[in-house]
Amino acid sequence: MIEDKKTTLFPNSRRIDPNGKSTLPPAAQARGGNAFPNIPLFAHTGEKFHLYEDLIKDRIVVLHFFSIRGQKAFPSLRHMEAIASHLEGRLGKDTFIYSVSQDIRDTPARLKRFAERFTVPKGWYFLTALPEDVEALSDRLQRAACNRHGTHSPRLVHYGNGGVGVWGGFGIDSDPAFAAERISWVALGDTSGEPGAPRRAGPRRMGKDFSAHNRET
Amino acid sequence: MATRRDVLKFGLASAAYTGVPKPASSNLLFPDGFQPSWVYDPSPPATPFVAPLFEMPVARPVPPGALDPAPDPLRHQRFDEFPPEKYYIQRVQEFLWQYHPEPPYDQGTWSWGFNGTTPGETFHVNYRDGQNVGGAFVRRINELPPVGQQRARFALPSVTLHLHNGHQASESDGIPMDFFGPGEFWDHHYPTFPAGFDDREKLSTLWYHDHRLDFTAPNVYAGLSGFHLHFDEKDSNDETDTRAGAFRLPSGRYDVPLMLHDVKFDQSGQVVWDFFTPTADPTDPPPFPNSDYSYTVNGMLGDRFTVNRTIQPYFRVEARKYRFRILNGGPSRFYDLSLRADSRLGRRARRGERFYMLSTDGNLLPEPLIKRHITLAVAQRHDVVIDFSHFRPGDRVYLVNRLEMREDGAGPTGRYLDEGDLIMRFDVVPRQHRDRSRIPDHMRDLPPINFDEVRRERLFVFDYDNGLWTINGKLMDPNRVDAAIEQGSAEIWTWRNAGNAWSHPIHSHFEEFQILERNGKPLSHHDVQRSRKDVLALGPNDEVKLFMRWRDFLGKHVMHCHNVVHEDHAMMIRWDIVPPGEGD
Repeated sequence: MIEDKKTTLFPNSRRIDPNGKSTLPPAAQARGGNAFPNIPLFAHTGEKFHLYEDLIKDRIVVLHFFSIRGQKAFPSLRHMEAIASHLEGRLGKDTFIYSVSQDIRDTPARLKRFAERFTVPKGWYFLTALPEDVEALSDRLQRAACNRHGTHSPRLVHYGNGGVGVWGGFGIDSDPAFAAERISWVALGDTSGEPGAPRRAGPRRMGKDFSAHNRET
Repeated sequence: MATRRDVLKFGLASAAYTGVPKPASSNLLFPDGFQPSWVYDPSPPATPFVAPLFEMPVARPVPPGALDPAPDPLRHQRFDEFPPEKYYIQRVQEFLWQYHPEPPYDQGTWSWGFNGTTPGETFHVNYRDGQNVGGAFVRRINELPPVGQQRARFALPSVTLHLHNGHQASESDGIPMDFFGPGEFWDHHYPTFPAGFDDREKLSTLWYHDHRLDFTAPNVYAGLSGFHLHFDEKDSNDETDTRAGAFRLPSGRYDVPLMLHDVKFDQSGQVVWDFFTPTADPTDPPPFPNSDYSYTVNGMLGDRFTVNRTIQPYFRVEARKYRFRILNGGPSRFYDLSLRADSRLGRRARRGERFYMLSTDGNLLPEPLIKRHITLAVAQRHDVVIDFSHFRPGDRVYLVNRLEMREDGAGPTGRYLDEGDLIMRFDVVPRQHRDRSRIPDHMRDLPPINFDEVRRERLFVFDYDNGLWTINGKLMDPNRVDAAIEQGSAEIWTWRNAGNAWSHPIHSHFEEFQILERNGKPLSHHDVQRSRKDVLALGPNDEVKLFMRWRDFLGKHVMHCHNVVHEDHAMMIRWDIVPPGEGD
């Protein structure tokens, strides 16, 4: 069977279908790729959303857990506010921030009052859900929320493209400008135009400053 | 505790994507109701030992004129001093790869690789000789589809290719920020001379792999890895070499790189990246007192063992000596490998069930060590000779892994499996020619440790904090210099694992290190770790002191955990080599 599908590129290659044409589904859309519980969530704006259908599908997503009480020990939302300031022009269009409370005492009304202490631009939602739903979500993303009275504000932020299924993570206290750059990495790539000659990304001409990055830009 | 409802929800969510009913074996549920995907939704079955081992092709050089635009010496440190002997073009591509000939794998698995293969082609590069001829220049062109078009959906089609263990300058090293996207290329200049021009620093078995910031684990998992081998007048890739001092190790078709990856597949044979793996062990102490806080991002385990991206292959071996270069390609599993023959030859077979260990971390040892088993943390390599002349044609010899991993992937449990996992099978056939290869008595001496060169000591503590993995409490920031090391100096580094349950294979780029002491004790003379190393398996609560030097180039490099899931969740530092007098 293997012999039938050899390519001419290398005699013993297992590459099949060298033109890359196939009717197979995309890889890894099961547990690993992009499967989220479609739980209902309640926002500080009074809106109700379903996680996957309304908030993740076809969006660039920045998602983390927090609790209002946990802000004293670790002011994660202040860090997120700094990141949000670098997402101007993208937030609310293709990019959205979801701050999910893991404390059942953080009701939508309480989240609304609390949100007033921040500059919450369009596209940033403080969210809560039924305890078991928060638990389901946190099981998927961050086990910290197992504690229903969680007063903890995790450092881990998930960022990804829900339309694609590619996800990364960074610390919420990372350099905010750089965090915004990272979020841009998962944006849909440019497919317009014919592919031209490959462009040089690096290394740049070295000069004498070895501390700067090696990329051209 | 999760409710039954949660469990059912996950079942429905997953079933919606795979269309396959899930086993209702509640006795397999972990106490919190969450399972790794390989337990919950195992990979489709694949009959072991029906697929032949994939042997990667040797990379073919191109004429220098094939590179358009031409290489630019001003973009590389010391380019004119080290002109490349060979030039290569590697195209990073997406294609369907057959992990196994049975359905559903026979349809192919969307994979990433180089010039049509995964693992990529094996580079054969010569050390510079007396006429300064040697080294390589590799242009890598990213031909992956852009984000949104890639079929390996979990990986990011923006890559940086690190030559692991290579003594090359920062700009050719493939550090995490030197990424290039679809339609872009990056030039890598591999000068291929030993550190400090000291022949004792020569490297033998290297590998290249993606190192993209935040996405190394999925990108390597998708297929971006390959071997890069160095040869010189002693390790000359010629087992019939009659020159004095030539090692005459098994060569050519008898020198076989083996790259181990454990992979999880879905029911259509596509790779699954289970990127959020929960803790599974309720006995793990929580990181904070009085909390039930647990952690994710521990690691990723697959339930199909692959060698050179083939599920449990067989390999026909002649009844003679072979050199195998065995690499643990990750992402998270550790191995303890041994040989097990089904021969009835008794004692004679027992003699064959051993490794003549030539190297650790790709660096030839002062003398070969005979071992019944070898351990491999992620990214570690061992070159071994297996002498199949102890067996008879028709015998079958299995490569067996007996190390049990924590189900969450964060490290070994410390227990050994009775039967173990059969990784691959060697089928012994008659020898075709006389075996002229040898196992040398002596290979490369260790470079001396000179404490007069030591400028300072540093302590690095590896820990977990609030959902992420830290070094000295910090997360990776590529714009922050965590250590400014003076060129030409040596330092003593202490690596301390503050965790009492997880393990970290720690890797530092550019130069090898030697272990001074482990948990307060020096290593014994027969310890395989008494060698030049670039990856150290830091077990729970381990503390290891190292001697390291930095020479020859200036610029940025990194040190990080090579459990690539930990690496992507920020267990990495940037260190710079700076001119003398400018260090911290």
